[in-house]
Amino acid sequence: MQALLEVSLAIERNEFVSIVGPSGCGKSTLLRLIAGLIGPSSGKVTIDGSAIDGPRRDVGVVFQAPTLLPWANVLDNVLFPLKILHRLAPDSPAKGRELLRLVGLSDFERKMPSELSGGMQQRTSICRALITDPDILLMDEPFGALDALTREEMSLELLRIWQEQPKTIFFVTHSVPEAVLLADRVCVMTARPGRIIEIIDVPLPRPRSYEQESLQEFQNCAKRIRQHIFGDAAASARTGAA
Amino acid sequence: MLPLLAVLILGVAWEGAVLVFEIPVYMFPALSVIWSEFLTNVGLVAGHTVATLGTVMGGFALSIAISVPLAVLIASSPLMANAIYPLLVLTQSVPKVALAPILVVVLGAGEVPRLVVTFLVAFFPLVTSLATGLLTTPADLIELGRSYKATWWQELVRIRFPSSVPFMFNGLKLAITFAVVGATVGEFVAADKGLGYQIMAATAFFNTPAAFGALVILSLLGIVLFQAVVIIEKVFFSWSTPMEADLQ
Amino acid sequence: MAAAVLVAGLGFSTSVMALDEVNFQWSWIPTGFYAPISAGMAMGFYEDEGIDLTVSTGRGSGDAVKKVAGGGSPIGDGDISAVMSARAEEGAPVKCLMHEHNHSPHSLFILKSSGISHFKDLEGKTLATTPGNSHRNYFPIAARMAGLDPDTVSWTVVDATAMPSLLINKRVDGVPYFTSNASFVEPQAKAIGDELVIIPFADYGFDIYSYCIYARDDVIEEQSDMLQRFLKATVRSFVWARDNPEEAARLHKERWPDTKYEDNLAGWVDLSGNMFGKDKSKDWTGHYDMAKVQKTYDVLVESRGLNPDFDVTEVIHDSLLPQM
Repeated sequence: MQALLEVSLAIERNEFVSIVGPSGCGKSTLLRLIAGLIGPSSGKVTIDGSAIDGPRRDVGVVFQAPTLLPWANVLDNVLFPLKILHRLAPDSPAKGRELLRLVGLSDFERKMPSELSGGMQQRTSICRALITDPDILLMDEPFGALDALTREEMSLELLRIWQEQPKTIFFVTHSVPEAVLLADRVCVMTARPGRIIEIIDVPLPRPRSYEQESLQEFQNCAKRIRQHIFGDAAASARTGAA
Repeated sequence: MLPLLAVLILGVAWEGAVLVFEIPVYMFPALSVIWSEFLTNVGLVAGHTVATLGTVMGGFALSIAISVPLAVLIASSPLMANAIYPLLVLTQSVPKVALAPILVVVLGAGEVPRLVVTFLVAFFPLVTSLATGLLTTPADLIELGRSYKATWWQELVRIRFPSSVPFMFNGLKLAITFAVVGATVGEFVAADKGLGYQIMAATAFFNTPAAFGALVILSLLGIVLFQAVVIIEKVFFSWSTPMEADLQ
Repeated sequence: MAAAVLVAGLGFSTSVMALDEVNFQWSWIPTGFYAPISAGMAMGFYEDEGIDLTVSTGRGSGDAVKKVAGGGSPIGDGDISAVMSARAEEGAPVKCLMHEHNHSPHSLFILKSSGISHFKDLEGKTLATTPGNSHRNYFPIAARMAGLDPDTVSWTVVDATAMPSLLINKRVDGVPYFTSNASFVEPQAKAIGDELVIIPFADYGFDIYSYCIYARDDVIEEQSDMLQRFLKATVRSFVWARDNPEEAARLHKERWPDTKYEDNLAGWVDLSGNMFGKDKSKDWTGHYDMAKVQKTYDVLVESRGLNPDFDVTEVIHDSLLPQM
C-alpha cells in the first residue's frame, strides 16, 4: 500500500517545521523516511544534497513514547547513543548532565525511568536525542502522551532549547495550536494517500508564548490548517468554539 | 511469618499422624525419628549434600552456558526456531531415567553423565523463556537502537539481553529447581555419593528415616537455591521486579 | 646427595606408574555382600597384584552388565542370568570369569506364626513381588520341584519399599528376598513378637548359579594378565574375609559410612555361607560346573523364554582363575 503520494518539501537549516494532519496521513512515515529507518519506494530524501540510505549521525529522533531503557538510569539513558556510536568520551557524562540541567532534571540523573513522571521521561528522551549534537532533530508526536498542562510546558521548553542550540527541527504533531506556536512553517497533510496540501508560513514573532494564541495571525494560521483538515464549515465551527 | 506457620502446622500434623495411626517407621517415619537419625549422621549427610550441590551448580552453569547461545539462535530467525524447537522438545519427552544409563556407558562413570542429566532436565525452561524474552523485546527499543545504527551484536547485548532479564530470571528460577531434580535423577542412576544416592541406598538398606532425611534436605536445597535466585534478581536487577513485589 | 634423591624419586614414581587403574562396576549399592572387596582394597591385596582398584556402585545386574558391555568399566558383577540374557538376546560381549554364589540365594521370607514351613504349605496363599523380580520367574520351577502346583499361589505386585510391611502386617503370606536380606527384615519380625522363617529355593533342588564376576570380551583378550591378577586378589580377599568376617565388615563400613556394621557382617556371613558352607567346609574356587551352567540357562529358557539353542560355553571364561 502506498502511504505517501508526491510529497515534496524543502527545509532550511535551523528551521522549525511542524507537520500536522489526521491519523493515517503518513506524517510518521515521512519522519521515518528522513530518519532513514525506512526507505522510499520511489523518489528520494536528501540531506545537504546526499540521499539518505540509513540512519545518520547528524540526525536525532524523539519518539512519541519516551522509549527509555528500563534497566538504565536517567544519565545512562542519555548517554546510550554515544555508547552505541562508540563516541563515549571522558567529558560525555558532564555533557549529559548539562543537557539534563537544561530540561530541569539535574537531581534525577541516578533515578530509574520507572521512578519518573511521563513528562520527565520525555525530557530525558529529548536529552538523549540531543547528546549526539545532531544538526537535525526529528520529533514524532513527542508530547502526544502527556497531559495538556505538561504539554504546554514542554513545548515552551523545546523552544528554549532550540534557541540555545539552534538546529533543524522536524516536528510531527496532531495538535494544531502546538504546530502553529512552535514552527516557522506548518506543513499540512491529508490522508489516504498521504500528501502535503499546503505549507503555511507562521508570521508570529519570536520568542513565542501561548499568549500569542489570541493574536489574529495565530488564528488565521490555525483556521487555514483546520480548513484543510476538516473542511470549511467544520473549521469555522471549531474556531468559534475555541 | 505465614509460611513458617504453615511449615510448623505441617510438622505437627506429620508427627501426630504417625503417632495416632501407628504408621510403621519403614513406611513413614515420624519427624522426630528423622531428626534424630539426621543428628547421628550429620557429617555424612553434609558430605552427600555438598556432592549434590556440586552437581546442581555444575548442571545449572552448563544449562546457562548452552541455553544462552541456543536462545540467541532461536531468536535469530523463524527458520532457526523451526529447526531447533522440535529437537528441544525431543530432549524433554525422552525420560531422563531411561537415558541416564546410556549416558553413563557413553560418558563414563564420573561426574559428566550426572551433569548432562542435570542439564537435560534443567535447560529447557531457560531456553524457551530467554528466547521469548529476546523475541518480545519492545519494538520501539529496537527502533531506538536502529536509529543509531546499532550493530547486530550491539542490539543483542545492549538492548535484547537486558530487556530479556525478567524472562531470563523466570527461566532461571525454573532451571535451578529442575537442576535439583536432575541431579537427583543422575544420582539415582549412577553415583556413589549425593542425596539421590543416599535416598536410594538408605531405602535399599531399610533405613527409611535416613531416606526421608535426605528427602527433606533435598527439598530445603531446592527452596534455598530458588530463593537465592530470587534475591540475586532483586538485588542486582531490581528494575525487572515489579514494585508490588517490594510491598509484600 | 641431590642426585641420589632424584634417582630415588624416579624409582618411586615408576613403581606407582606400574599399577593398572581398574574400575570394578558393582551391580548394587555397597551391601555387606561387597565387604570382601572393601577389605581386599584396604588390606592392599589389589596393590600387591599391581592393580589400583576403584569401584562404582550399580543399580541392578542389568544396569551393571550394560555399563560394562558398553565400555564403561572393564569388570563388573551381578546375577549370571543378566549376563546370559544380555549375551544370548543382544550379543552383549561379556563373559563370567568366576562365580560367587555356589547356589541360588533366592528364597521366600515367611513369618513363623503363619505355620508355613514348606512350599507345599503355600497352596491358596498370596505372595508379594516387585515388578521384574527374578523370584517371580523362578518360583514356578522351584515350586514344581517342591511338589507344589505354582498356579495355586497368587501374587500381588507392589513397590519394593512396601514389601516388608506387607509381610509384617500379614497382608501377604510371604515375600521373596535373597537370603542376604534377612538381617534387614528380621528385626521387624522380632518387633511384633514373631520370627522370620527363610525357605531357600535351593532346598528343593533349585540349584542354579547366581552372582558372578564378569568382564568384557576385548578385556579378556587384551588384558588377560590384568584380569588374572585381579581375580587372584579377589579370591584372596574372599578367603581372607571368610576367616576375618568382623574385620571385613568393619573395613567395609570404613569405606562406605552409609552402611551399618551389623548389616555388613550379616550380609557377608550369608554370602560366605553360600560360598564356603556355613561351617566353612566347602572348597569354593569360583570355577564353573558346566552342567550346572546349562541347568541355570535351562531355567532361563523356561522362565524367560531365552533362545534354547544358545551355547552356554560362550558366556563362561573361568580359566583365568587361580588354581586352588
